Amino acid sequence: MRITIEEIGGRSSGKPYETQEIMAVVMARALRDGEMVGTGAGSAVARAACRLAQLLHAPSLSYLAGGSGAINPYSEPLPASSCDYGNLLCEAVIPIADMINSVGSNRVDVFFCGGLQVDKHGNLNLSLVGDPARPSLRGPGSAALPLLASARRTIIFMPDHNPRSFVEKVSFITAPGFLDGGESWRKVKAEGRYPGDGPALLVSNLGVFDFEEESKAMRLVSLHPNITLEAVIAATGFELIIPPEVPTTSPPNPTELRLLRELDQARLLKG
Amino acid sequence: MSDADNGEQEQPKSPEGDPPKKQPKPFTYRDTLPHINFEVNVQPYPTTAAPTPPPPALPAEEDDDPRPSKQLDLAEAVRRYVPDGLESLAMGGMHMHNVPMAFVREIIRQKRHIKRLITSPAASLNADLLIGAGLIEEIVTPYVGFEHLGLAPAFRRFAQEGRLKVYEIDELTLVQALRAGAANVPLVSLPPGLDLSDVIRSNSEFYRYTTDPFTGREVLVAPAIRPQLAVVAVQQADKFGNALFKGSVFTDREIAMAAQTVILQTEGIVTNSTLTRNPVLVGIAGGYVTGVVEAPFGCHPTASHRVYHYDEAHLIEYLQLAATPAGFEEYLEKYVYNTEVDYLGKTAVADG
Repeated sequence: MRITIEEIGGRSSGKPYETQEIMAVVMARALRDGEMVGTGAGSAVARAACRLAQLLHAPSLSYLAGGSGAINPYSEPLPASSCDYGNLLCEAVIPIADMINSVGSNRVDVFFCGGLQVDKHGNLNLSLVGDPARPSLRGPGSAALPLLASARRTIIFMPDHNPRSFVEKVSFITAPGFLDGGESWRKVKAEGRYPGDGPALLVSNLGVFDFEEESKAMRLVSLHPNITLEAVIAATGFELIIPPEVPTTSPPNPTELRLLRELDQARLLKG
Repeated sequence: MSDADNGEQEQPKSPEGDPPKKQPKPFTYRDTLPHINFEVNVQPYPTTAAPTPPPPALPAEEDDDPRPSKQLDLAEAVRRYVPDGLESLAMGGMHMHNVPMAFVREIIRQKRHIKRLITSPAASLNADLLIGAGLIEEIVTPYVGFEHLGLAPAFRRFAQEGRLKVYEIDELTLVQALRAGAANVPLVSLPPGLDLSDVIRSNSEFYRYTTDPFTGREVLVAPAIRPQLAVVAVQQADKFGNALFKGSVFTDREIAMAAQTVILQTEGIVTNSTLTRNPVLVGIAGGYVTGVVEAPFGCHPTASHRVYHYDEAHLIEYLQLAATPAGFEEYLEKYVYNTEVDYLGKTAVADG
């Protein structure tokens, strides 16, 4: 089903919805009622997804807005920064130390994360490329991401899908995904060193992906509307698992889009 | 304060001529305070009701307070507490919020070198300016960047050129290590799952394994962090160092409690009774504070919660200039090298 511009009452950009809007909608649909969700830096799209899920199918979901300490911000309007005062228009504010400890103590069901690079097995790199003493690219750093093995599951969002950001193997694992694949991950899990279940989903600007059960290698789930399979293959620096039938990501429906734009008054999710 | 002021009737003398035993309740300044919320930055919605009269002007009550004032000016604070070659400096705020930028600019003006900068869970312009000015030897940080605005240009350049030693740690370790520092605990053990990250393998200065004597299992540990100096930005403080955060506290309390010396940078000095009217909201107690610096708009271009938002245009201008060493120097020339008054003159929101 393709929605028309008339249905959503906008016509300026000529696009019925923005790429980050379909990402937010896909991320919202992946959340369940009653879950506790963590978000971090640069995550306006993740906070929008959490709030959208609360308004639609998950009214008792709780979400933590990064460093601000806010729980369940109304996000209307959606703040750009995770630490913005605007997030404190919310249900509760807890010390950030409690927030961070909630991840370490496995209380967070879903953590939204992204990075400079993601690899075939969902490991993320935010730290550096090359020699640690003299890296060829110094990234911002780990923030809370080394803790992600302690989240029950993670959802990775990557707004710029290209061969440099989707690599065969990250040179530096800031946030552990499925490590070297299914076998290595199951071994670590059996030793009790991996409390969570790892990355459940990856949403990019081109499509939706998950990780095949046995090999824990990245698998295409659906292509966003108007994106070709060839474009995704060309933008990915490793061999994806491609099922025989690849559906199209169901685009935002008029209700989802209306609610999203009521939150995102500054149109942060544009472009 | 004369007895007549408290409105109590004078007691008649007893037949024996002794004064009555009952002492009148001492009248304090607090009795005159109107019960209003002191969050004055939020304008009320216009209503048709008659305007309420303004509260009475606050008297200079602290003139009779016997405690010495800890207030000092910005340049003096840096001269006194940031000796050249300071061992370690920890700084509060997070991302582009509540960052003590006036203090950072003054450190650059006075060219004080700092051996180790310890950041909050996320540093931005504070770390980037000090690094770019060549004043930092090593940094202990979970994150230096500008969130949705981009990567930190000077941090990247110095790290990539091998001119900055980066001790990357995760947020949980930072917070626990600061709490350990505050409690004089030598080390903290860390939750399972963390050791799968290369952050742990790449930083043996902060992450090592030991044996848990209770279970015999291997456990990841990190040393306590005790910054020599902490600088924290607050929205209100009295001159004795009691301080109030009007918005997020971030990790400022952990940073202040772990440090040996604490300097507050405040948007404004308020009277002691302004804060003690609701002591539950006082985030930092004066007894832990060495100095108080009044610096209105001193977090600019980062936000000061509930007082002003971050100046995105200024931050973007910085990111564009600082992309090259020459541009970084141009930024310092334009905004930092002169005085704080000059800085605010250039960055004031002139067009409303």
